[in-house]
Amino acid sequence: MYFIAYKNILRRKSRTILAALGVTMGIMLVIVMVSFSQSSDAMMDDFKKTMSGSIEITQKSNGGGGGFDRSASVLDKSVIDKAERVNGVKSVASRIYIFVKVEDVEIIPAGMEAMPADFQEMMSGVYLIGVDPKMEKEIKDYMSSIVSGTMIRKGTHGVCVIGAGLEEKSEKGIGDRIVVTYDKDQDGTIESAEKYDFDIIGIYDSDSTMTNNNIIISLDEARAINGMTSSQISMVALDIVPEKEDDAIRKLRVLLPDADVGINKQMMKTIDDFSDKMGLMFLMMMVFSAAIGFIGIINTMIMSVVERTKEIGVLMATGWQKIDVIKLIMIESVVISILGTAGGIGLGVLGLSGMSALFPGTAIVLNAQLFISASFFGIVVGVGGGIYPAWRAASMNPLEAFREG
Amino acid sequence: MTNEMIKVDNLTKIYNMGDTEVIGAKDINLQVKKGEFMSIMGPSGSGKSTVLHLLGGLDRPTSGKIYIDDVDISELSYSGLCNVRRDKIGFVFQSFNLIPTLNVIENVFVPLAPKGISDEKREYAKELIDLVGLGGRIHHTPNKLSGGEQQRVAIARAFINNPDIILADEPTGNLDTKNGKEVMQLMRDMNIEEGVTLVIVTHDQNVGNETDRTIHLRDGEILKDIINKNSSNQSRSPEPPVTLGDDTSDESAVTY
Repeated sequence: MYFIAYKNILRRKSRTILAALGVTMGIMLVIVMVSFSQSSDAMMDDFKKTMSGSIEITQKSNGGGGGFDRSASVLDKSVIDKAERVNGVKSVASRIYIFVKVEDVEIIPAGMEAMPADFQEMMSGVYLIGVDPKMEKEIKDYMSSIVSGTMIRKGTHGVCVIGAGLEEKSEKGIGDRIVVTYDKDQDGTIESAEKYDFDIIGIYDSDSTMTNNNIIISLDEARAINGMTSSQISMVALDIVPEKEDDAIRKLRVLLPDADVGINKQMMKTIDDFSDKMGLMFLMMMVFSAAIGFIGIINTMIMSVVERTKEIGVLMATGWQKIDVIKLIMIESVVISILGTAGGIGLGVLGLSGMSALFPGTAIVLNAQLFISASFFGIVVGVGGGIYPAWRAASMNPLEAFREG
Repeated sequence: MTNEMIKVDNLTKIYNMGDTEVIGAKDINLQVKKGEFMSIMGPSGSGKSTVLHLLGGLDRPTSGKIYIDDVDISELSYSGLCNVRRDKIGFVFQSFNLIPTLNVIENVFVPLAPKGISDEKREYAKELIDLVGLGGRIHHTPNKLSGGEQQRVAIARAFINNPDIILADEPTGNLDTKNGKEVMQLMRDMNIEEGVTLVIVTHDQNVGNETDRTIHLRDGEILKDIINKNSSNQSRSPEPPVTLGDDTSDESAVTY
């Protein structure tokens, strides 16, 4: 039976190629979508890991609620006392955030890999975070997760702890010196930029690409760099008893009307919702992509069945059962789909590699799940696209087929 | 077990064309013996093809019975009819109906394709192709063959499953006289060599004369059932069901 199917596929080569191309386009989009979906999921997971730490208090309307630009936030130190008194708050930690560039190392923030180069250049940098080591130890945030070396001590100058991500990118370790540039005016001019260097005494690992590139220094040294007064800080991190989190946050909001209190639960929910929506959108796009191939196949196979009406009548006259006719049409449909799927996988991988080359650092996923998804869609397209034409062919009455053919 | 390959009892086929009923076959009774070479003749619309299609299980009767090798095919399921067509019957059509994308041997393989093609059948297909005189053109596609050659391929295809019966609908209708004669001779040869029962529909009297027996139809009814004494295979001509008529005639006829 295969020889009949094979010869028929080659009967109208251009039509077969067009149908296979339809599948190729669909599968290529499936590959790209699955890859994007996976990298987006990975990014979201990463982000969630980052957010799953302490609850933060920042200056209102300044990236609060766990916002990104903590370096622009200024809070009065009195916030700490107020926060500590709220029922459910176990511990607090005050921090100062300063956005700096690391000399000879380009750190592209997570999620900005596909942005234009000049934008990446502008956004390239890390946070220099001034902390109180005692407070950090109590709050058990990632900054206290030292994997090698030691944590900085209170009031020390010229020493730092860096994230494992920065350690890898800068190829600097304990005992090395790291140099950063701080553009106080944030205007990008060299005139206002000042260089600071620190000896690395420890490495922390937050297990998140978003927070693993920072540099931890003492609160006093950070204050000396960005010029904050002794009563100023950038933000406060809180450790709250989980059962009392909602109540505590409500009270904090009343107590601190000029501050934003990040609600991580809400943030997590927002991330999950967004992630779900993204997933649904990717799925819809995959279904849409598969539909392109499906329509191509079904159209080709219907045309093929119609133009072979008489031949199908002959097959039936020579004793072919309905199921044999169905098998023949399905084989043809699936073979075209397999050809298209192979092309789609090839072009999809090529496209992803191309994107990876054009935008270095782009989070592109190439794994078995990608190929399994593409193959699954290919089979669905081939089988689904063949069912109706096959049924139509098998439903023919051989005599009517002779008359119509 | 009887000597009859085909037996038809009170066969009637009525087509409903809107409000009108068209009689394709009316109360036909017929027996065809094993190895008999019979032709069905009649004017257009007389029901020749209808009877042939009913005999081949391509259509179902409105009433009456059709027995193929003692099996009542009028009662069979669709699948059962497919099996009868595959195992018992070979069809030859006026317009050859070869599959244009397949070469000679592949076209001959078509009836075998669903069940797979054994080495034995491959050899047999080659023998058949040799027998129909196309041994040197085994890999040619139909568009590279003449009409006569295409019909030979169709005949080889009809024989591939070793059927008991070959049903041919105007097998020489699209051929010139020379090719028509050759095809008839080939069918006669295969009738003798394979012992197969042959029923052909034709409107050509010369073709009809080449067969052992001719039934004439008009308006779906058998008008005459004639034994052709000058057919090219007198030795295999079966005894006529009833022999009537002029002794000096070269035909023995039953007139209904």
